[in-house]
Amino acid sequence: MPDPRPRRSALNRPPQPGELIQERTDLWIQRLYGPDRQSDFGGKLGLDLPEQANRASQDTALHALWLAPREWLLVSDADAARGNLAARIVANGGALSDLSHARTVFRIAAGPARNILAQGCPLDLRPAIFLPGHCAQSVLASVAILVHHLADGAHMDIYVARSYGQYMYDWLNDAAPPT
Amino acid sequence: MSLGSFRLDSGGLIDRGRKISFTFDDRIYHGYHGDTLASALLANGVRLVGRSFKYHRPRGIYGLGSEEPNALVRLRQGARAEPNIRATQIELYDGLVAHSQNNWPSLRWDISSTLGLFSRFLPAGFYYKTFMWPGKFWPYYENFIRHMAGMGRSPEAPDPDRYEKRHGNCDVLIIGGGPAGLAAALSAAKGGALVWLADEGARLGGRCLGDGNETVRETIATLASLENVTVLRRTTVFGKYDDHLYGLLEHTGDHLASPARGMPRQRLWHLRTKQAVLASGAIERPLVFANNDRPGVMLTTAVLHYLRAYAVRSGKRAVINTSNDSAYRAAQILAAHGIEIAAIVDHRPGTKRRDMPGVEILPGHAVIDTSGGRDLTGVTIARLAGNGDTVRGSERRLDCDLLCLSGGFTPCVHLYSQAGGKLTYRQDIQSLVPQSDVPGMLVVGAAAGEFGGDEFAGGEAAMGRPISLSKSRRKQFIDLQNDVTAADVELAAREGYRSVEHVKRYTTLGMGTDQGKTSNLNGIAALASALDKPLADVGITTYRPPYTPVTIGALAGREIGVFLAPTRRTPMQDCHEKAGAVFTPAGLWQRPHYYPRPGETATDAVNREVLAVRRNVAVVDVSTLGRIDLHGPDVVEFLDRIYINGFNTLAVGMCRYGVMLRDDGMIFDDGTVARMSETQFIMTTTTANAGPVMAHLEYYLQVVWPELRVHLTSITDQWAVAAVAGPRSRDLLDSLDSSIAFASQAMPHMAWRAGHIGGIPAQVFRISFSGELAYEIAVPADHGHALWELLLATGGGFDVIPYGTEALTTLRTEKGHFVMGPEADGRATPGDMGLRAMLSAKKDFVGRRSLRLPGLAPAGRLNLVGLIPVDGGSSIPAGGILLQSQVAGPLPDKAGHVTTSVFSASLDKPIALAMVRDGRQRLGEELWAHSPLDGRIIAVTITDPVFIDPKGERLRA
Repeated sequence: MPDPRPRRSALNRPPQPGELIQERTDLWIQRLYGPDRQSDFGGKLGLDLPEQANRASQDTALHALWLAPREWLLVSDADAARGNLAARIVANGGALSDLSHARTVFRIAAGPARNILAQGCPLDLRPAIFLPGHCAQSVLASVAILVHHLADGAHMDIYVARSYGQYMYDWLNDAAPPT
Repeated sequence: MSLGSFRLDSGGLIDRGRKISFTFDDRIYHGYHGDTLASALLANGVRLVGRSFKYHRPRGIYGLGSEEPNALVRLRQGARAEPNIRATQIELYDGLVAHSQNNWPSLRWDISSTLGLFSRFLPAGFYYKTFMWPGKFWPYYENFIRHMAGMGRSPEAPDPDRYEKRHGNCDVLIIGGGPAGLAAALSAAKGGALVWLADEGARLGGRCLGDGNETVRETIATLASLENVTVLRRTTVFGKYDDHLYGLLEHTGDHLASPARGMPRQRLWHLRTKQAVLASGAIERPLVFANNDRPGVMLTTAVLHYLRAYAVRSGKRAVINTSNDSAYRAAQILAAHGIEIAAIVDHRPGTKRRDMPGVEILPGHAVIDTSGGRDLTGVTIARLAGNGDTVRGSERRLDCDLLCLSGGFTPCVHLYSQAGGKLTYRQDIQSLVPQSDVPGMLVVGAAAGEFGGDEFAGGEAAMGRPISLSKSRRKQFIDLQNDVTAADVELAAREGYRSVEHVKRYTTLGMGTDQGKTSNLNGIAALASALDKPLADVGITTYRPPYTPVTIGALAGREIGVFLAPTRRTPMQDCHEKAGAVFTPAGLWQRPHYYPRPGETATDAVNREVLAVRRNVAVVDVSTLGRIDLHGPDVVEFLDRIYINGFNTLAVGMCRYGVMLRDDGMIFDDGTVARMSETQFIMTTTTANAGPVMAHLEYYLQVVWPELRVHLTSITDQWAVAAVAGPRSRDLLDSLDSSIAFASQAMPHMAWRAGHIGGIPAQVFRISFSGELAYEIAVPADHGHALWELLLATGGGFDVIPYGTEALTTLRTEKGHFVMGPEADGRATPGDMGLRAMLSAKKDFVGRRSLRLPGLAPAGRLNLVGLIPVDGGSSIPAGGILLQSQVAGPLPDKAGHVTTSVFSASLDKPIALAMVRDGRQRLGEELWAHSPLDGRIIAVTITDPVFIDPKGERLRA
């Protein structure tokens, strides 16, 4: 059954154009478990599933972020991009855990994001090291995060558990240089 | 001498176009931009800048940087005041305010300096010896000691400034911006590495500062132009940690009256580098003789530094007391700038240096005493005998206002030692130097003992061993900051202290803000001499971070106030805030404790909420309970191994309560498991244990049973969950637009159903914590707010109210449910909780084997029971001790303890849960519940823990 009611995100804050830290809402987010010892799982699904650690797919409509061996985070904000993907995943021996409401996602321009993240995250996010299309799980201000440097190189997405969303938003804004 | 005449007419790195005024001890002085507080005070002829810690002796500026033991001041005022700041490192700014420390009523007239008269009664270990007994007087002693001891005063107002933490990465970290560091930085940068160079000072150059060295000047300019070089000035590398991690403190705003807008006052760096180059230089060692602490006694390098970098003469007429050749070159420079050299007193008998025409050079002599009150007026010299530590022949007095000490140089090996590097003793420079490089760290320049030039040619540099003066009681200071004398070290040795670590703790040698940078090696030399051992065998105290003190503000960074720890919010948090809930912390969550109405007390509110559940219907936010999604063909097998009870009979559409144990057989957590499909299950955990249970499950899957095909995902944040409880809860749900049939036949106790409620997709679980008919409604988190409003907005005369965790506690206590923490406190087995029937005999599970240990046999263990007061009305002390008799003896006959105590609104009397030895066999017996905190003792009767509906008819209704 499609969601008949509008969703209310953790921040419940209408996006303000020009704001440095933007919340991405109404996302479809799934943790995908691939079947053991099955080759070309992604191919059968028509999905670009990175095999290399800490890499994201190039598909911009449906991101597949590497989390662990045979585990990915699928993220999409367009219904059309996934079609009956969930059913096909299960049919091919995979499993999904729905996390669509379990994450608060912040999008920040890459430059400021590096400056802000450096204040609480030990990852080496220098442009020459953390390239577009890279992702990594770490900790930011005592909160577990997933950082994704988008393929366009211009933005980073930061994923946190939803219950930390407001705290993280306040922390990020406090870390951002005054405007 | 007129004020200001200590400043040369030209030279130095100061900006003479920018005159600055500042106050020291409420008196106004002038200096220039580029000065330090120390250089400006010296330029103004201010020699007395503080009193010493223990004897309150007058002290002046001694060194040039972070080694300074004496010139500690309180900088700034009000909330920005900071004690114990080294004047040698304070950059002058307009309006700077500083005060001297350790004096009362004033710096010039300090009453405690009379301690000097009694000081023979204040030897090393005085406090330990004097205040040992009787122990009960310690509070009075402590009061006295606290008054006498302690350095500086902290501000009491909150710090107005911002402190920042930052992570950084580089290829090469150069520690120290002197000639060796600059050369290393340039070399590394040319190879293309990403180079960071950190230096304590405001200017790079180290010992070449102001000496006109062109190579150094050009290198600094080149480094500034290179994109792959980051120079951090005013930055101390204070610690070396594992895996090439370094701690750096950047003083981003300390050189200003207040930090620039948006800038932190200080920034703490966690810097990870592939390679470090330690170019931290060396610190000049003083010499030890009587009264070697007066204002006007200085390190020679410091005198040179003030002259070259700030164009300041530290005195007019100097005696140089040396044990090596470096002082001769210094003397030439001093003389060239108008400081009269009264004599060069050289400890070495054989020195051939004769390159100072017109200056009296006294080989084989030493300064043995000084004279003056609050300022130096002269020195006494004598010819040395024996090993250079005794005096022969007649003494002679020389007038001077400046005494330059040069006892050799001590390499700054602190970070090398922190990295685990071993030191070796080098006789030629009488210093401990790095034995070999440690992985990832290269030690270069003076830090490696490579001083360059021929400064140490011409004989061994004599260590600053105390020069024994027969029958003298005059103090020969080794550690100026802690007022530790040569006699103190000798006393420690006489009293049996052999280890340098013990001597440090006994005498306080090498403690304090300077950590013995000028005193450690002389202290070891004194100890070696007292123990009659070679210095190399005495060893040195462990070097630990930090190199210089790091403020608590920098360590805290932004982790203050609301950012002290993360706060988690449920999707319904707004609703609770709007409803005026009083919150209570539960882990990182803030859960509604109760929802008081206007005029209600907390007790009123909780009683109302409890009765609403027992008699009507009420709603509680349980989104904080942990939720774990389990997928895979082996989940049933996995659950069977994790829980004490079996899960292979759990049907799709049903839930089951489960208890899991630790390896040692103690209850670890409890919760429910719902079977969503053949291969998918959802487990709930307690709020506090959500993380630990997830880790527990992951551990067993990854380490113990990797063959099980099970995937785990924490889905706590995916769901907003409201529990609807009370005899009318089904009526309430039936009144809503829903696709789910809630009737008992369609949805019995412990069933779950999916559907929608009011257009919101939902999973409804018929499970109960209160013992009433209850449903837990889970909806995707973004719809939690809407669900809560829907449940509470329902009309139809339901009068639904929200309830909080206090009512939840009362309800579960009435029902006799144990919880993790109070009852299951990590020492309780399933049997203790009366759950022996749950233990499956058909399978193995985590903790099962431990339950067979003799110590866990049922007899004599604490059992979960209920308590009621014998008088029917007295509240039972929470956490109280349960005694067999009313009189508490020295060894009370303890029968158990009270775990949870509530007022039961449902029963209209106080009740409690308790753990009582063999309690289940003792129902009806009386005990005494005693609170050692308030002394209360009341009689209680042991009851069954289930106070309400023991047959469970209400929840199956």
